[in-house]
Amino acid sequence: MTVEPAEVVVRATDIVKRYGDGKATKVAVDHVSLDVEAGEFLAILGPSGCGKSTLLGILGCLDRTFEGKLSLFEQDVRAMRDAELARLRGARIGFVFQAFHLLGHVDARENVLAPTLFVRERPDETKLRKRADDLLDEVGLGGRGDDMPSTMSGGERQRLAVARALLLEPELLLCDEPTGNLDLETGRSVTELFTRLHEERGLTIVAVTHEEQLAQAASRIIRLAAGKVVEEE
Amino acid sequence: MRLSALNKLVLRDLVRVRGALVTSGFGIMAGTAALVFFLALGLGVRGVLLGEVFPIDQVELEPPKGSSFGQLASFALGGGAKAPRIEKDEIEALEASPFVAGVYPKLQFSFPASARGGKELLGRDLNTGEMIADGIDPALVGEVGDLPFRDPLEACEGSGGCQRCATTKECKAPQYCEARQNEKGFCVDPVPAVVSRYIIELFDKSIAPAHGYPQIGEKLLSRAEGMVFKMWIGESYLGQAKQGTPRWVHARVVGISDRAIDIGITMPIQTVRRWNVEFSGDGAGDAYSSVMVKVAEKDKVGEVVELADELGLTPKDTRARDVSVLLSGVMALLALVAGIILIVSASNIAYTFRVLVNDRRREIALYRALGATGGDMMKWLLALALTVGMVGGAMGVLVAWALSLGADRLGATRLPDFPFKPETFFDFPPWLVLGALGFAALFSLLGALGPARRAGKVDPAAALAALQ
Repeated sequence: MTVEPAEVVVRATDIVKRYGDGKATKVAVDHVSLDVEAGEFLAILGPSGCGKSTLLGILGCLDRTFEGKLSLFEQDVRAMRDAELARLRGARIGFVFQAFHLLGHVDARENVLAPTLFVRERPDETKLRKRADDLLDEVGLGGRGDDMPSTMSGGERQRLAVARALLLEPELLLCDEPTGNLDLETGRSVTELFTRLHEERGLTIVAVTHEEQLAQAASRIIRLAAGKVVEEE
Repeated sequence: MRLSALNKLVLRDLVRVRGALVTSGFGIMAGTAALVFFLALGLGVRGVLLGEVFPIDQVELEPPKGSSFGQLASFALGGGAKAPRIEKDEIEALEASPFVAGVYPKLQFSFPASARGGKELLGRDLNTGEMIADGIDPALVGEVGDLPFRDPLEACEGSGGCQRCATTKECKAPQYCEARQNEKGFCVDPVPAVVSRYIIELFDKSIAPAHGYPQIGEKLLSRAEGMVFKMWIGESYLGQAKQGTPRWVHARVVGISDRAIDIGITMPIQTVRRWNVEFSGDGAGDAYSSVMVKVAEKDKVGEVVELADELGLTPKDTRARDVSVLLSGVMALLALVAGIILIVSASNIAYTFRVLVNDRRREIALYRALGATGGDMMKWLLALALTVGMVGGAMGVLVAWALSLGADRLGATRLPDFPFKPETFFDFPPWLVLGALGFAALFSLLGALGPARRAGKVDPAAALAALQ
């Protein structure tokens, strides 16, 4: 079944995230409101520690301990149960992390197939394996399906993580410093990959980064400082 | 989470952390092996003791011991002592109880007797200075072999009748003349008698080796014609009956029965009643010395004993109950030891899995990001623990079984023969094996429960951010 993308994929209103208690309380996200429309490539730019990763965790429903209102695909996240959120993440959201977070004990193909472990319906194994190989091709890792992640370079690992994020055809891709651990040249190639995915697939992407290079590839940039939105362009 | 996916994750873990899991599984294996070994040993020994030595599905009731001088004392007094009695109304009260499946009165010899015979089996005749015997309802004994267990005079009733006689010389062997002194009687078959497995075991394992006799257990069972011997009734080394003239009768052991008295022989009650009247007067034949009660269910023995107490009767032999209590206590103690091993194993599993969850916070967080629920993560850890428990438990059962084979072999080769020495000291009923596997799984799950709950509560955002 194909799900039609919503007009507004993400609607965050007055989001606040605090850490600690009493006087030691630190506000990581301070009254942030933003909308992300379907097909948009949004970059959230800011220095380290400005709260952008925390904000991404909230937008990806990984963190539910926040104040404010958040709706994803026109569903109120705060009203959803853990199982419903997990299903939403698995089916409609893809994640790419700075540290890749690959499974070191299985090969590249099994890493790409990891999201299928938590799909409720029994998947067509043959079709999925073919799709995994196609995705590896698409991110430039054709023929590397049997390789272990430990044998890959940083850029290759991040491409592998992107392939994993795309396996179940998500409508929203959330990227947390996807080029943060890569050298300039490798970072550029990963950025080009995101650009291509956005342009060719019409994928909605939200990427938090402190690198201008990636931000410049986005269709919209929000600048964050000390947990607050300071500029939008 | 689908079962196939759960299976995939567990199989991967069995390879990834096999060292830690083998250590955890070893504890479960040791605990299960101890539990199964001890319980199987207890059940095996209990089966022999309560099934063959002291059957627990029956209880023999008698008047309080104080009211009886006992059979031998009675003989010493020339059969003049008043025999203990159970009246018919007490028998009827027992029969009316829902806990009772059958009531079978017994009547002891109220006169002295001795016996001589066994040459055909043992090579020479054996003499017994005193013969202890009970009479029992033939219905209680049932089928014991090819020969009927009934009063031989019953064959003389009806149209055929029996040959009249005054002495045994007038009868055709193996028949003898069943007649009081100086009276006419009938040529009848030897009186059938059954003996207990206990007395056969005692003879074969203790008396036969000491006196150089052959063992007779198997022969006795296989001989269709039975072993014939002669009894001198009305007199023994200890004295003579208060009335009547001692005489010879013939008897024949027709088989082994659980209903036979441990030491002595057991005959049809009608025969014993007739002889009691002959040597002790009319009063010795119209009441019973004890009553064998078949219990409807083994766990209802207590209710039957309570009823007997109300009727003024007491169990003749409390050994079965004593042995049962003793064995239950020993089995409980050994099971407790095994339980402690399992608890230690569970704590070992708890530690292993706690370390596992700590090491895998990133992986758990990633799975949560990919669509897993907290419950999925719990299931994953618990399924892994269950696998360790089941495999460890199955190994434990196998180890216990192997140990039992070794113990049986040692028992067969190193232990001397003794009465009721079984081929195996162990009993492995299916419920024991399934129960042990269940316990192994339960303790593994209990050990892993805490860590699994922690895995289910891992904060994915924090775990992923901490490792950026």
